Amino acid sequence: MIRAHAIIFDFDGVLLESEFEGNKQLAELLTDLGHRHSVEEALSYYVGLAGPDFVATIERRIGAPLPAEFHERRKEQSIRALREGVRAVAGAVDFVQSLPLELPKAVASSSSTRWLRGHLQHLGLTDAFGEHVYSGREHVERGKPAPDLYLHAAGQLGVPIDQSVIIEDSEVGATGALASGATVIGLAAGTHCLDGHAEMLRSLGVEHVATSFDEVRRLLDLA
Amino acid sequence: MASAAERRQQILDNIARAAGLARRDPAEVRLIAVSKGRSVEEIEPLIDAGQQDFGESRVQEALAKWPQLQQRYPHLRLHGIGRLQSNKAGDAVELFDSIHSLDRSSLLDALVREAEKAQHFPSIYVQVNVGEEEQKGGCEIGEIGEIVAAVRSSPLPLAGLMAIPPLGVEASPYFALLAKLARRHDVSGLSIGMSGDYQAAVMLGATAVRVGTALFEDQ
Repeated sequence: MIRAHAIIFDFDGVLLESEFEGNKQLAELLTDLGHRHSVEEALSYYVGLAGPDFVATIERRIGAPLPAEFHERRKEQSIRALREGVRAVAGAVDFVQSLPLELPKAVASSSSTRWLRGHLQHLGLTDAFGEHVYSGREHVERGKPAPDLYLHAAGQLGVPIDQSVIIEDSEVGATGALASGATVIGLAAGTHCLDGHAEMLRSLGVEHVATSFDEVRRLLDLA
Repeated sequence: MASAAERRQQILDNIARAAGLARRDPAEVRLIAVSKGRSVEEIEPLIDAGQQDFGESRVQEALAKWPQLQQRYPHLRLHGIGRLQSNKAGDAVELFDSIHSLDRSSLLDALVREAEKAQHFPSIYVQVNVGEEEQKGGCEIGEIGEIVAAVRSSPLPLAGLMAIPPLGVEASPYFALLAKLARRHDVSGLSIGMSGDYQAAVMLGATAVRVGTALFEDQ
């Protein structure tokens, strides 16, 4: 059993199905532009990449530069997602809402606070996290996989990192979470988690891996 | 069974992938093949596959294998990665292009003396005992500043910091700690990560990974 004095949540892919939805839209957009992609292919090749690396990886795969239309439509997709919301990972909202009010909790994500706060509002979780919503782009100099964002979040919660639990789904996030010295629960509950996701997390050294929030609840003895 | 070249390519691909995930340039990461305990016959296929950096722990063993290989392949770089006694400093500076285990001022003095004699100046990693283990080599965290400053004022180039985390526990917090210490002392090189954890090390800032088993044996 894991004893948590605080819980720090990654966001995209842990609380929000944005990894799956984003890659589904990416696959559709690339297919529209003449470069046929399934959502599984997009998830396999592009998850975890951002900025110039993301663009360069796609261009390498399709063997051509991405047209301006790609960037315009990606921007539109992001604006629409923030306006209309994205569904939660199964069980995520219930799990957060069922946690004791006095248990310190935070979101620590590579996304912007604008994205995080917007979606927390859609999910009805704004009050659950209060001011403890932290962005690797805004609150620390070095984002994930450096452990700095988790250390910052734990510091803001006033809980030592070695008494904190971090819930992460990605390779980059779990690496940084392990490096912080916290107890890490690897979550393979999102639709984006293909076969082998739990094994990937274990191979990184994540001792506790859950495939649903019910399992997380059991690991934390909150059942 | 995979060939040495295939195993090496797999590791280079993994390094590139881990670097990409951390938004790093894979070219910043040097793969050092740890060849201690390996014969010349095991080493040569890796050289043929393009491997240029090799690491040896013991001076005696390296002396038996490398002078001939270095003559035949003058572009190779040999790294001394094991604990080093001062009385081996002469052989070490002649053999190695880089020494990863400087952990005390007296050893630096011996290396400088011998380097000036040989007119060969290997670059130096300061080894840090990040896990504060009694039996482990490496200087204490509190000594880094002094030793780094001593290397900087010596004729030996400072390559970075090196650490071997404690066995049997998660290595990542120690990698992150060493990266933080390197930033604090304005040092850019980080020699961390071995066969089991080099991908995490790359994500956390390694500029040199020391891989033996995964290069020489099928996993």
